[in-house]
Amino acid sequence: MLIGERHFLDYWQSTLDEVAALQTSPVRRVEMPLRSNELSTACAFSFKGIGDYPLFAYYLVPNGSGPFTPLFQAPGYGSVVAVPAWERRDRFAVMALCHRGQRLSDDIYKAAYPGLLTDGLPKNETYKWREVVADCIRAVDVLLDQPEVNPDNMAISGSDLAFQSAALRDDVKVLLTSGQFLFADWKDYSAKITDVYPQQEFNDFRRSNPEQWEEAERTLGLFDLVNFAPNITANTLLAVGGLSDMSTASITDAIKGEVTVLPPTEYSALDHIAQENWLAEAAGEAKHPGPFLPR
Amino acid sequence: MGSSNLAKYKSTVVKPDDFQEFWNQTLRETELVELNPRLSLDPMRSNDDVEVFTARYASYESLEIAGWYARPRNYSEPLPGLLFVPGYVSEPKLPTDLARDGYAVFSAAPRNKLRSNTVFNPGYPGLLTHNIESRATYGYRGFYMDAVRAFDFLSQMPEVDERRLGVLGGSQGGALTLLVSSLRNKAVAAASAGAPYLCSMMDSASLTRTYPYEEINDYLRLNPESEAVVRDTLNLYDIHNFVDQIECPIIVNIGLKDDVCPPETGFAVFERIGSDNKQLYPYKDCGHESGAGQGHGKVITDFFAKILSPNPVGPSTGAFTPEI
Repeated sequence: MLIGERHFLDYWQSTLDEVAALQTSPVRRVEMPLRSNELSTACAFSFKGIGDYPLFAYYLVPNGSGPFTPLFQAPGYGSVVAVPAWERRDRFAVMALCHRGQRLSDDIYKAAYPGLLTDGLPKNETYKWREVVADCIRAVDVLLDQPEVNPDNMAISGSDLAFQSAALRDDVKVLLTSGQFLFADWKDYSAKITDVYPQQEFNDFRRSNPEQWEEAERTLGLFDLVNFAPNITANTLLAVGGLSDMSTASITDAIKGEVTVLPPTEYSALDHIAQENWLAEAAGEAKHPGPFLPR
Repeated sequence: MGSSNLAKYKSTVVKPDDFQEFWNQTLRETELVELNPRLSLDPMRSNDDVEVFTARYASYESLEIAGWYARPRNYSEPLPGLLFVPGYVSEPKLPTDLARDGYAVFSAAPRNKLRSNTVFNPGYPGLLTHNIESRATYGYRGFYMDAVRAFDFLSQMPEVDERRLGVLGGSQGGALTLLVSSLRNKAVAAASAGAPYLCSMMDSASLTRTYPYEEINDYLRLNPESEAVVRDTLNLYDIHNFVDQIECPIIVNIGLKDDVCPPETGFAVFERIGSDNKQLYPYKDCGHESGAGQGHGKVITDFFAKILSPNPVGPSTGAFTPEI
C-alpha cells in the first residue's frame, strides 16, 4: 500500500497497475556464451514493458546450485548498461536492465543524453521517466520469476531508479544507493547555473520553456525521492554524493527501514569496497576481501 | 602491490615493424576525406555566457561524426582551444563549464557513440573486440582517426588560436588524449590524460576482471586459438606505442587501486611519453576516477590555464570534474 499525497498515489498506482497487467506476457531467456565464465552463466532477457515496449536485460547467475539472492542493478543515467561486475556475479543472481531508450532497448525510442531527463515535460502523463520507472518494476517482476532466485531476499542497487523502484515495491529487503541522485535537490539545480550535466538539463528546460516550468515542477514533484522515501521498508544504504543536508535528513527520516548513511570520501576504491561489503552483509552473503583486483 | 612495485611494471607490448607506416597510411587515407565541418546552434543548451553548437564532420572512410562545440558568447581576441575526448561508455561531455572558463571546446563523439553510430555500431560491450583479428579493419582504426579529426576541426575554427590548443580526457579519453598528442605533436600545446585506457592492452586484460578489458578475456575464452593474432592486432593499436612522439607539456593521473585500467599500465605508458615536460599524479586508494575526489579537476584547469591563458567569461560554477 503506497503512502503519499493523493495525486502521488493515483499516479503511481495506475502505473503499477499497467505493469501488473504484463504479468503473463512472454519472457525470453537466452544464454550468452560470450559473456559467461567460470563464475556465472550469462543470459539475455527479452520482455515487454508498458506500452508493449521491447526491453533487454543482462542476467548473470552464479554457477552452482541456488537459490541465489536476486540483485536488480537499476540502470544509471546514460546510454550504455554494463555487464554486471565480477565481484557481484559470483554471489548474486544479478539482472542489469536496459530501460527504454538505452542501447539494446532502443528499437523504438532512442534516448538522448542530454535530453532524457526532461523528455516529455511538462505533462506528467507524457514525462518519459514514468515509463522508465515502470520498466524497472517490470524487470524486477521478471527477475523474481526465475526459478533459481530466492524471492524473499530481494536486493536493489543503483541511484534514482533503484530508490524509486524499491519504494514502489513491498518485497525489497536490501537497497544500496550510490552515485548522485537526480531527483533530490532538483529545485536547486533548476534555480541556478551549475554547468553540471545531467542536472543542468532541468535548468536548460526552464530557460527554454519558462511558461511551462510551473507544470513541469508539479510533474517533477511526482518523482522527488523525498516523496518516495516513506514507502521504503528495505534495509538501506545511502552512499550518494552531493546530497544536501536537508534532503539527506528528509529522506533518512522518512524511510521505514534501517538506514545507513555513508557519504563518499576522496578514496573511491575504499568507498567501493565499503559499499560492496555492506551489500553482501545486508543480503547475507560473504564479503569480498577487496580491493577488487585479482592480484 | 605497492606503488613502487606498480612503477616497476614492464609492459609486454611490442612495437610492430610496420607501426609507423601503418599509421602514416591511415592518416593519409583520412586526410583524403574532406573534413566538411558544420555547426548548428543549439539554443536550449546555450546560456548567457556560452554558445553551444552541434557539430558534424567527415572522417575516415567518409563516416559522419558528431560532437559538441561550445565557446564564449562574447570574445574579442582569438580563443584558446580544448579538445575533450570521451570515455568508453560515456556520452561526450557538454563542455559549457570549460567554455565559461574562456576556451573554445570541442567534445567529440567518435563512431559508435550516439549521433555517430548510424553506420558503425558494434555497441558496448563490442567495440574493443570488433574485428579484432584484422589489423586493417579493427574497430579502433576509424575511431582513432575520428579523434584526430576532431582536433583538426577545432584547430580550423576561425576564432581559435592554433598556437594554444589542448587535449584532455579520462579513461578512453585519456588514451585518445595520448593518441592525438602523438599524431598531432606539432600542434598540441598541452595535454591531460586520466587513467589511460588502451595501454598495454593484453597485459591489462590479464590484470583485471573488469569491463571493458574483460571483453578481450571473453573473446579469447571462446577463441583461444586466436590469441597470437589478437596480440598482433592490439600491438598495432596500443597507445603505449604512440606516446614516444609526444612533445607538449603533459599531466597524467592514475588511481593506484583502479580495477578498470590497471595502474601499472599507467606507470608504464607515462614512462614512455616522449615529452620532457611531464608530470604523473598517482592517487592512493583511488579507483578509476583517479583522483577526481581529491581535487584533480583543479590540477587540470590550473595546468591548462597556465599554458593556454584563457579569459573567463563568467563566474566559475564550481570545480571542474574530470569525466571518464
